Amino acid sequence: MKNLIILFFFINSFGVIFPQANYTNFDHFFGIQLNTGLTFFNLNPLKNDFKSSVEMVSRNYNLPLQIQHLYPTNISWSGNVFWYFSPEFCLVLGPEYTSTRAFSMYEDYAGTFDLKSEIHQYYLSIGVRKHFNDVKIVQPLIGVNFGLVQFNFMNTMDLNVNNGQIKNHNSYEYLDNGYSIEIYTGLTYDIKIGVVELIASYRYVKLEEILIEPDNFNIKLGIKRGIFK
Amino acid sequence: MTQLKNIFCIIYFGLTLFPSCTLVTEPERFYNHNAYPPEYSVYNFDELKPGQHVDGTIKIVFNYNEFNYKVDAVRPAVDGKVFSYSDLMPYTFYLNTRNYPEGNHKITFNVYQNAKPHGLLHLIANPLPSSVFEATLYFDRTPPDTVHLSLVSDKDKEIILNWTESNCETFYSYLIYKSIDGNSFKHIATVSDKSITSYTDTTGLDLVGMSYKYKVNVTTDYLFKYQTESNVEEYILGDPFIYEFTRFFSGPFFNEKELQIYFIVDNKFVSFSSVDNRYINEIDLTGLRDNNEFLEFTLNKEKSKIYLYNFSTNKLWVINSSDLSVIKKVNLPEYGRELFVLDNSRVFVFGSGVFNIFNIDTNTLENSLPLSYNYIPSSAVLNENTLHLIINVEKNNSWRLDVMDVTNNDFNIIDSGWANNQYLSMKKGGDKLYCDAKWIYDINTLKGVGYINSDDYIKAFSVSDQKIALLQDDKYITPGFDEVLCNKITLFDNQINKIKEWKLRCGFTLALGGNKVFASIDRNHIPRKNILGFSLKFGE
Repeated sequence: MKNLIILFFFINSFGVIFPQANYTNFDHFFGIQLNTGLTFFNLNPLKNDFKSSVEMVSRNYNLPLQIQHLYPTNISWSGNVFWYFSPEFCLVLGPEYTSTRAFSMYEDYAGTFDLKSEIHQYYLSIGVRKHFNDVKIVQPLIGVNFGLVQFNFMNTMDLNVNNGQIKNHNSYEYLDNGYSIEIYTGLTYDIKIGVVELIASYRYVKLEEILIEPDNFNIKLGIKRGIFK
Repeated sequence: MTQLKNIFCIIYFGLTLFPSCTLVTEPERFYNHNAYPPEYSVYNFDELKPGQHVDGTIKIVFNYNEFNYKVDAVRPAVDGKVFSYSDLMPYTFYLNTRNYPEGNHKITFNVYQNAKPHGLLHLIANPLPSSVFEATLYFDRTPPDTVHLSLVSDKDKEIILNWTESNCETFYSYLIYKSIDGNSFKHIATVSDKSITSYTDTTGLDLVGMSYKYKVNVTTDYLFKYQTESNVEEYILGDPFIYEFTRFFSGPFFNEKELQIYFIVDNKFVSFSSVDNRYINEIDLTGLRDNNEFLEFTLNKEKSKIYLYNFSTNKLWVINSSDLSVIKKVNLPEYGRELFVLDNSRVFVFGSGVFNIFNIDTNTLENSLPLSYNYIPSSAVLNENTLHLIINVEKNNSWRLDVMDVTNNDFNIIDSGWANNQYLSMKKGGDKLYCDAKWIYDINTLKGVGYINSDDYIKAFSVSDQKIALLQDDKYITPGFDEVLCNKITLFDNQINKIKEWKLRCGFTLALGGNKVFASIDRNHIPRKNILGFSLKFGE
């Protein structure tokens, strides 16, 4: 709910800054778009590693550990800047951020034992898009993006026994870079104060070092306003 | 400018809020209600108290069985260091405290179960006991103190040992040792309660004259490795005649009139009460017996006079049996080897190849009978009532019992009967004649009336009017001890029914009188505690 309120405030703020966008009269204009969506992760190697760690501790020490979250689908945020060099084609440039986590949090009379893992993914992409403006009411679009990607992967283990008599904190962090290719398709709808877009994409990601199968599927909902030339 | 300002605001809010806007938030921890901590308890040993001083190897029996789980193992530890392991119940551990420094040490019993219900503690201690029992003991090296032992006996039925209580803090038990006949001590009992300072020994206490020695050691450990010995106390079983002497010669001789027992020791003639073994009187035999010769002891019919005859020197002393005063000293004119008192003035001397009757008042020979070569007497006994002498004699290669009337200083054979053997010793008891203890004749008819069937050699025997007692060799085994050579005294009635039997250490001769059998010690046996012999009671 907090996020939706922020998003509402954020979108309305554009209304003050930019005039209404209308695809019927655009002629070489810039646009700006904000998206939020859901990212569906693969990450099978990471999931297996986390499961193995939890099972090993659980088995060796008879702790009934539970995996509470295992890199589930999570919100993504992205923004785009458009340059329409024709009514139907434009270049797209923008960043995107998404993340996901895994948790196994345990507590008993003696203390707490937490296993946490986080992945933060940062994209910076450039691509091209084609709009099919002839379609009435909602206009489909397709596009492809090429981008750079940075993966930030962190694992932490926290042990706290007998109110801090025994404390143990282990963590490690990987930072890896790569590139991504994203193909997508979507629909647009003019709501007068802006253009709403619903996009589905599949992103192929290639990292340099870690093998975590980072490819993902995304659904994004965005709103776009234009800046007339 | 206003638009740029708004753009910056948008970028600022976006960068700040984006990372925090996520569906995957940190969950609540799962709380494991089934985990519980190990249970700590104070352990009470079976035989030890917390804080008790201990030494040597201690035995610890861990027998707590009120667990609500299946026990997998027990690991005892000293000061946190495990020293043993067991998976059997009850768990018995042996701990040598000498492997640890002197002082307080914490003994811990860690009880494990198969499951691991102790949650996170398993991460820092694996495996983790489910129950922990602890107690502290003091490992002490102080040697145990010495207790003082004293003995009390209830007349041969039991020996009661009393000792002073030990003050040893590391006390483990009293160890009671027993020695028989001067042999090595053997452990016979253990008393674990320090406050119990008495023990009654009833085992094997029926060997009269045997020396039993005891000592009580205090030990500090289960293996009895560290002990302190008490003093050694000796008890000689039986009701003894005690007299300070160096050499025993003969006795006991019983006087039924005076109720006295006589012994000849160290050239002294000593009398005791036959009732309570009390010393009564003594006389010096110097003049009668100067070279340790054997003395013949005889009483007159009335038992008022004692005749001591030295057949080596032919000296005869007549002594008042009441006060042991010497009535008469006589040197008989001829030698003999056995003397019979016929009356107050006459004695019959059984000589070598001759029978003599002397008048000791006038010291003259009343009559004499030289014996022919085919009349060889072996032994004789006097019937004081008839003054008939019954002689075991070999005549014409056969053994006979001749009855000789000596009333009138004659040697008339008035009767004769068949004897089946040569007898070395004959004694009269009532109307029966006991020959070499085994063959029994009617003294009036000279008919055989009984036979004591015993294959064992008879060392000595004694008769009274109604009974006969035999002294024979035997062996005695006290449980747990080595076999000891001893004597057996068997008492029969005149119908040869066995009345009682005693075991006697080193018996030599017997005297039977009243309700007692009197036995001397073996004269070759080293005297102990100046004991001349023992009285053995068989009736009220």
